[in-house]
Amino acid sequence: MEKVKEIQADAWDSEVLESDKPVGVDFWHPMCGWCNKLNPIYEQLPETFGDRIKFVKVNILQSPENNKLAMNLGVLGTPTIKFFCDGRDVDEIVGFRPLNRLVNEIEEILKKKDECLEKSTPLEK
Amino acid sequence: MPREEYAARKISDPSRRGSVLYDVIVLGSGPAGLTAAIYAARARLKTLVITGPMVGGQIALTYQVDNYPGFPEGVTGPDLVGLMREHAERFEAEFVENEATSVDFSSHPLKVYVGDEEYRGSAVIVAMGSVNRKLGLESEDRLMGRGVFVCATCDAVLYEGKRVVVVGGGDSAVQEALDLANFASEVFIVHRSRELSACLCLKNRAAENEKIRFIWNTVVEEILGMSRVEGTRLRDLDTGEERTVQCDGVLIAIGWDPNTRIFKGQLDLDEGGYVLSQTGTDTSVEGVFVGGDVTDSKYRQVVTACGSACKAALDAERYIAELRSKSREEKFFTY
Repeated sequence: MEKVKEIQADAWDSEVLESDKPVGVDFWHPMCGWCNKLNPIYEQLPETFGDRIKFVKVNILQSPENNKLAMNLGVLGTPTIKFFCDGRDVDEIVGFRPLNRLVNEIEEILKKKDECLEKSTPLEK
Repeated sequence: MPREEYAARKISDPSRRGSVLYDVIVLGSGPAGLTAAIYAARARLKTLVITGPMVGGQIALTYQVDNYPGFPEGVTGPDLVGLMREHAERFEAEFVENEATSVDFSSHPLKVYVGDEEYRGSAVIVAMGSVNRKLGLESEDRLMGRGVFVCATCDAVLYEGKRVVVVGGGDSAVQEALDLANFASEVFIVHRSRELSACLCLKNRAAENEKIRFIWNTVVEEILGMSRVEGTRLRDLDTGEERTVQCDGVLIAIGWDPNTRIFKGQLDLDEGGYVLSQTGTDTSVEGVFVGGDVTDSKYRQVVTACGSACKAALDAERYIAELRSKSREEKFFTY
């Protein structure tokens, strides 16, 4: 089972936009209490969802590029999990959730997978 | 004993905790709750901490603590409460990382519930601190994390070059505004009175900061924006005049409310919801003690929270010693 990968801004295109399956990205940083509380829950998601979706995370304090990436995507609070499908920004979950609620909300987002292209707007680079 | 060993030591089977009678159940895991746990556990009382939603409490969301004695260079909030937790675990305090949902103090042993799970204690120390006060607007909940925020430590970096409104005028509002000013292009402090209630040192720093401006005698009527904050509608309290300020973020720092919802009808509370206490540690129920911000509307410092919770734990220890000696006497006289 693939684990949650910590990625950097320079791998954004290859890891997220060019992924052949939907991707969840947790924007977090270690000084954020709710992020630290979410982390162990987020780590359980690959096991729950298997191959249906890939999960990665970005530490927004690790580099100015990571921070800029989050800001360009409109992230205004941590933790925020953004979801991408065929390279497009389709949905987001803002703030902490316990595991069962998080799983339910992601299931709802995955249901939209097929229609995600029609519903989404291209990203500005 | 090395630190790793404290953490690795298995204290008791979590599935059996419900059937155990604890000497002391501590509610809350901020500086107050952890200090109470250190004192109670070190006195060899069987101690359970029910942490609440955030282990470490409010201070776990504070970047820098510069006034806790013994840390001349300052210490981060998460580090400080992390050390306090380790300290409590060293004396074998047990932890349930969850939120107490109700209590039953009508009979002894005292009962605390986490959902359906019941925990029983001879004494309870209430140290659940306080929660951020809200403006009470629908838009505030809807836009939380989408421009509305309560913690500059967590999110200031996301407001680089942006305009932010800070609501409030106390120490935390001004401190948050100063933290934000390191990133934001402009910070407006919107305050309902004509003068900040923050301490002089913070007031001076804010007044000298070029990015910070003040909007006096004004309240927030509405936060504008559908999926992201776009501005706020403000009302001048003197003239009643309304105006809109465009901004990308609204940080709410209008104070704290004691976290005492689950004690309504169980403990005497004052008008503000703080736990009422005659001695500073006792409550309206025998065996229930109180410490920290949940009973302190005035000082609210890490060190005062620790101090008052220490007193609560010492009084709980004395109370349990009396209970034990009573039960010994009863046994003695029945022979």
